[in-house]
Amino acid sequence: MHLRNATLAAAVAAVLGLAPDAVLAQDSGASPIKWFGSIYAKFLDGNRRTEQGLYSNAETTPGEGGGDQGQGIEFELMFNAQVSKQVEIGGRLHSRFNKNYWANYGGFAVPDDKTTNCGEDDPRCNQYVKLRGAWARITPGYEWLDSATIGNSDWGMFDAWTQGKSRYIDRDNIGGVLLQGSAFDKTLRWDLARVSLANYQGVAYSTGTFGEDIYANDSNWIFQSKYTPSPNWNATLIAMYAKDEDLDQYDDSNLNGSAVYTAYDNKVFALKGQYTGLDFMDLGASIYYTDYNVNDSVCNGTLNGNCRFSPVPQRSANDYSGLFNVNFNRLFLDGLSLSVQYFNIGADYVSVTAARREADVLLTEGQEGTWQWGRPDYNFGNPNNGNSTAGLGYGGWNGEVQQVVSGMADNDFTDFDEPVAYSVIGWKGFTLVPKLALGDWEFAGEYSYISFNTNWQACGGSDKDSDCATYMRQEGVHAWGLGGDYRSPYAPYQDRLMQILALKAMYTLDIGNGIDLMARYKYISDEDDRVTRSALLKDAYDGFPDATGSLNPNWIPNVGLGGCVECDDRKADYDTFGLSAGYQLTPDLYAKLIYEFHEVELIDGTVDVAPVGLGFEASNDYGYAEYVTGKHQKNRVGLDFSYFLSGVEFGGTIDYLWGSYDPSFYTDLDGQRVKLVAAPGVTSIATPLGNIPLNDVDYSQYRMKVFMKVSF
Amino acid sequence: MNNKARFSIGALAVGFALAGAARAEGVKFMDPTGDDKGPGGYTYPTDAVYTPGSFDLVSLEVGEGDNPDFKVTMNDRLADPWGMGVGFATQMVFIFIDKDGAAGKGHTKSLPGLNVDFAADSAWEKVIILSPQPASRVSAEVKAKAADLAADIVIPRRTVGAGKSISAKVKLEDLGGGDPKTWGYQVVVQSNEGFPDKSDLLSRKVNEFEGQHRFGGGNDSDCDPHVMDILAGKAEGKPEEAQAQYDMLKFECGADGSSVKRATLAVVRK
Repeated sequence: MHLRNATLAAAVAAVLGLAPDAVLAQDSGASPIKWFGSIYAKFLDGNRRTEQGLYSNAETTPGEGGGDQGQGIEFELMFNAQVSKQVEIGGRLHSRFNKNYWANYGGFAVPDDKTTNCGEDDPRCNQYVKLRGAWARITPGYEWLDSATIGNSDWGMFDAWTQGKSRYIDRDNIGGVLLQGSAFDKTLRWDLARVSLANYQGVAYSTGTFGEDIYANDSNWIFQSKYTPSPNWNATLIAMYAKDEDLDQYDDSNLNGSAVYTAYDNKVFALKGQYTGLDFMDLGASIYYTDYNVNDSVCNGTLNGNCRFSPVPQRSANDYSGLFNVNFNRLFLDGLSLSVQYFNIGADYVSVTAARREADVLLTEGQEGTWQWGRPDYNFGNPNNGNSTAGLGYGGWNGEVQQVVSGMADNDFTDFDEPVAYSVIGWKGFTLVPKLALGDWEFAGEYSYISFNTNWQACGGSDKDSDCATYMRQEGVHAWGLGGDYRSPYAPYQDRLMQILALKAMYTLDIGNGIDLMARYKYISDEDDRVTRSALLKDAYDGFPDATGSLNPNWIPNVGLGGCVECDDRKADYDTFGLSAGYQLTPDLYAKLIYEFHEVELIDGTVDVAPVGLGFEASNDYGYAEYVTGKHQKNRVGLDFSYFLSGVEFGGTIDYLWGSYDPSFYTDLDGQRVKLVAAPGVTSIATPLGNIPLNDVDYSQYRMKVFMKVSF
Repeated sequence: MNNKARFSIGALAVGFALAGAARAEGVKFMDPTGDDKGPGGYTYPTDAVYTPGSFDLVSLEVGEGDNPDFKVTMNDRLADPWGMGVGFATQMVFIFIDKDGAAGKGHTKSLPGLNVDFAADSAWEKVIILSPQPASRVSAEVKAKAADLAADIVIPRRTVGAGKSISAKVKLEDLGGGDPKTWGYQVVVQSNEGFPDKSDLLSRKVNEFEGQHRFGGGNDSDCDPHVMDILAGKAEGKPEEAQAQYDMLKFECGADGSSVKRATLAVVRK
């Protein structure tokens, strides 16, 4: 009998009370429980002076918001133990920041007697500790099964296009059962999991409302097999099936239990391969197919209906996506490498469990994080603009962008120094990334040519109101990048082309401990011709039924635009210059000084045009859509630092940003787009989004984040 | 900004990059692929970030001059899934240097968490740590966990990953001077662990069974070498060097997890 089987038999016998104590003691393999964890304190300051949370951003979570004030502390306690040779357990308890300011005194001192508004029994404010994850891992010793893990995980063993690594404030919150095995001397490894669907992973962000419907058994089944027969090549096969079942509302008898129906199901198949057998070049490819079916009764099928806010379409869809990567490890020169990626992501690609932010599926570095704040109110600085104040402010994000194939790219509960995620569903094109190391110099570049499978007129039909009802709209207002939306990849009318050129040089100056110098330049051309045939202009801009009370009454609509197809074009040129110098001041302290200059020249159609379907979003109090045509300039001076002592890390970023917005206006004249020159004495121009003042707008933002993390 | 200005910036950068000087020749050691199994049976963690070949050592190149470049190449393209910002994330590489080849001089114990020793005639005088962690963090860990060896641990001020190679420049004076071409080397490939055990220097554990972030094929105690790949034989990259590696990393554990025979490494030299 195999040793492990003998051990398992002994364990089973022990459970059944049949084994002598000596056998159990000899083979138990138990070890004491290990406790470890961290204490994390955060210090925020800024001139937005909002106290809606100890994180910079929470735009899309109802009732939450970002903040730039206050201090708070988190406590995380983790443990694991080898219970026996066959069983290991672990878990994590974690408090959560949210609005957990020191000044709350644990909720006691909050100057508000409403218990749902940061009072003592509001868990967002009272320093509550929550179970974040617990798991048991069983290694029975069978030939066919290496391990079974029951409990919580971040599911990082799968990939970002299928069951992506998940996040909810922190990891390990989604539970499931994971079986893992191997064969052929571990050259073939497989994973089979049933992962519970989070309640938001459904149509209209719901797999069932508690008390009204069912959601607790909704799950994603996923199988993955990796074959690595040699160091030169490997292949991976993935298949998953997610299903949301709800109560059948037409079942009026429970004599035979309650009937259910499938609200939606989602199948994803993937095949990935890699070949590294050539010295000078590596090859990799992956192809994905998704099939998504939604019950016709779930959504009412209109553009702005009950499924406007949804991470998945409201009609059934299927599509392919693929990547092809070629990496030249040495190209002509020693130290010169080149990565090439071709990508084609289907417009109807649907994977409800794809990674929401903790992955970057494309090679391109994409757009600049600083412009990804979707709701900048440059025109009025209205303190009552709810969505504007919920965002992280004019500085946007400092971190890189993470491109995801999810319909629910997630940037809530993030800080300004973190990456920002946005959806790239529908993208197709190629990216070239050369890198060169020459002596003390390092160079990197990028050129990307990006077209879109979502380039269509009336979503590929003839009537946007019916044909575009397939797609979720979310906060989308027919715009990208500056003033756009990071979650919704869809627009009813689109004819878009984006090109990215980036250059970066790094050099360590041999003075003292060495000064790390970096310079970068990036240019993005992002053009969207939107409606391309004059006959479709009327369908695109034929009225705004939800606009009552929101649309600017001074604005005069020009439905049809007189046949001017260029009048709704969006054209944006982004330029970014960056310089930084980093220095190791002491063995423990590293500091980096950063300067960045950003400029955007943007024309977002004429003032005759309002975003398709614009309704309540037009109100400046709401903030889903803002007037952004004109020249934007932004400067950033930042100081990053990190300080390490044994067991403790301090880090921080202090930013001062200042910028200006010079609005400009275009109109339709004889079927052509012309720049609007205001008559003397005119101080504002009527647009769908308000009477926009002509004068330049200056803005500034100061923000600071400092943290301490002690690991024990 | 107009297109002419943008083009000028691009042309200037490309021209500047291509105007660099030729590299100096140094010394190069090779390692066969497919031997990223430690003593022969180690397996990768199951999380998707640990891609096949990512701990499979291919070569070590050491440059010349007062500021030689130490470049370690792996058998997979480097990635930065954890946002370390230096072009790689999962790897952690230790380059042990035996400058004199003399028995009795230098250190025969290695660094905490690796669970290997060095043979007396391969005792090392310096070790370079190539880590994606900030140098300050590595330095703090060294002070806390390897203070007795700190004087001989060299942490480059900047370590970067590009393509398949992790590299760093080190001042020759920080290595005590000499001719790097004549030195003996051993490269220990490990994984960067941001949440290391109290006894480990930012390195990842090897247990009996692989886990999501844990190597498998070893022992749950610390009697096994926590090493995925090393240089072996004549370091020419020949297939038989894989077996030489497995032999070098052989270990034996007692029933209580204590070490009966500890893996003992030798350096390679030209």
